[in-house]
Amino acid sequence: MSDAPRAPSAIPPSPPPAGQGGRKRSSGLRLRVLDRVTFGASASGALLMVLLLGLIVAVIAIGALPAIKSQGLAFLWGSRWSIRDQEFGAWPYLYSTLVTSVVALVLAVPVSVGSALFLVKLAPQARLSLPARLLGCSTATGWIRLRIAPIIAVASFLIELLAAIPSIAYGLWGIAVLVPAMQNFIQPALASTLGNVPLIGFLFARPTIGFTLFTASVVLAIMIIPIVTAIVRDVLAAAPPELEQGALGLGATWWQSQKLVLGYSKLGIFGGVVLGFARAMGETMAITMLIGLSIPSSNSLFAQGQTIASLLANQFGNADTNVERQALLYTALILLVITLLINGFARALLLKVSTQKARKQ
Amino acid sequence: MTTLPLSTFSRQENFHGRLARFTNRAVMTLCCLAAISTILLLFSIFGYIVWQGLSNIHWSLFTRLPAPTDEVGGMRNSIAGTLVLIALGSALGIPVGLLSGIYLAEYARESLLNHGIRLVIDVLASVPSILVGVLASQLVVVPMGHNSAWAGAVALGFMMCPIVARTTEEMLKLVPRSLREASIGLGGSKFQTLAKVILPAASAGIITGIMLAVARVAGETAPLLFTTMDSDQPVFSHSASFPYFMEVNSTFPTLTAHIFKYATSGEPAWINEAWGGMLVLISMVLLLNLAVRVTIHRARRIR
Repeated sequence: MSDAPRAPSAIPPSPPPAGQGGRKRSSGLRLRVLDRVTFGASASGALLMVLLLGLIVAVIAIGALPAIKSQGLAFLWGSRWSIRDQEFGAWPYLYSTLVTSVVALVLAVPVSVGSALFLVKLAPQARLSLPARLLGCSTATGWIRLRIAPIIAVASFLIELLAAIPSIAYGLWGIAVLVPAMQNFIQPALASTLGNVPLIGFLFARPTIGFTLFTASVVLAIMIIPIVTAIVRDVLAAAPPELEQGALGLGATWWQSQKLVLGYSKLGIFGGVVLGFARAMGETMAITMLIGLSIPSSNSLFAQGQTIASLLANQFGNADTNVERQALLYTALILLVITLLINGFARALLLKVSTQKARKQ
Repeated sequence: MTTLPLSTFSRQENFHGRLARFTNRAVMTLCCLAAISTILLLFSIFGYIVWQGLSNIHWSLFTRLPAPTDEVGGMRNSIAGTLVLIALGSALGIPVGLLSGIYLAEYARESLLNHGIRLVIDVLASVPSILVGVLASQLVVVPMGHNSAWAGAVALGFMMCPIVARTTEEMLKLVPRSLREASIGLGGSKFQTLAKVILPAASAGIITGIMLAVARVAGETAPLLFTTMDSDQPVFSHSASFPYFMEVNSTFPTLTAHIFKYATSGEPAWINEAWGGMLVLISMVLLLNLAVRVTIHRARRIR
């Protein structure tokens, strides 16, 4: 009798029909278990990523612990590296790392921003009428507009493809082409011109070898241009078109309107530049092949050098003693902490910029 | 009042206007030059590598083992070693990457924690590769007491995880909402929706992400320098210890480490061989990348 109110029409789904009840319930159970398992597995995958980051920091820090204890913070500015006296200082390596990365940025950033501006703002309007614009014709009359793939797509594709060339290829190219060119033409030319400029002259002294900090910086610049260009391109493309249109409507020239766009996107561009910097600091193989692998002997950019990454590549595999290995792990820890901080900062900046934009829209 | 010399204004206007127009054109030209010279420079590098590679590549590269400088040698073992190592690394890295990608796209809400996870994955993707090598060396080589292919695989797997995770997330998010709604509306559970609707729909994109990760690690040298090192021995051998038919528990040959060794050897014969090997490596990497771009383009256009 108590079954009467539970007629199928009253409460539709809860009691399954008698015939298929068992099977349905068990498959429902199986599905629910599968749901849980899927969630559990994917969440633990995500958790594992976080653990991996912790792992790399922990493993390198623990390995470096004896060196941290014996050398202390003086490791950062000490400049003697003597295995016999067990005295280690990372400053020459830190110096080379910073100098090559900064010079690479100085060379790469203007080119990257220019390329990105071209890709985002000039190329789309410029199928074949670009020459006309450059010559000052405001309209593209007289120029045939062919329906080719927009330049931006092709050029972006090429630049991104080139970002995929392995670092060791740049190293091999550098040894064959760049090093002789640096030694015989570029460095002497720079030394005889910029070398005589008062304040910065010392940077360009004594060009005698091709394997120098400067050579490494140039290759680094070539390697980070595609990366910075891609980020700046995305940032510029995300800027609201009203800025530019408003300025143009008020009679501004193209460049005046772009200055507004650049100002609006400056945080994002900064983020991209900082990412390029972090990338440059960690770059290993090309640098190892080109920098000369010895402690810089002068302040000049035309001296040999040894970055932290190249020191590790060169020494870590054949460190004879535990003490040396621990000191090398200490330098690795420094590089890790710097790149993690810089990367975290830049990514957070870019994330913030993109979420802000999303909220505004 | 009307005697204000209009001409001064207009002349001033003209000067500023002309300056502005000149700057405008100069900056435009510089931007174009920057883009064009970047592309030309990068292509001249690429062209040089290909040209050197083509003039030094030979069949013996694929059929012989490394030899002393006065004999004709090859990189048969290194090429095989790179492929084996990529397979091992993929086996370690891809599952983790896939799972966390699924988590981020399907389960993660817009919370601080999940922004944090995304940030961690991005940061993980940009850890310098040499430090990944140091990690693998400390974690695998030191406890084992010798170099091994496993250590290299751990390093490569570590580098693949974040790349696979982010591309998987992006590709899953591209799957149209209507598909999910249809599946849930028909009574599909979360698992069924995921396994039978979303993953198949995103499969091309996910495979693309995996190929991207493979392309990225295939050219890596730094993580292998002190994990697998380099070896002149063949990869596959009869004398290898039982469960494996490969020499995984000693130094292991890889294309990149081998090229590095030859390129910095100073021996002209070896440097020429390095160019040949480089062509093999670059064509591998670029073909993978090309395939990736084409697939992504297709996937985007279909939607």
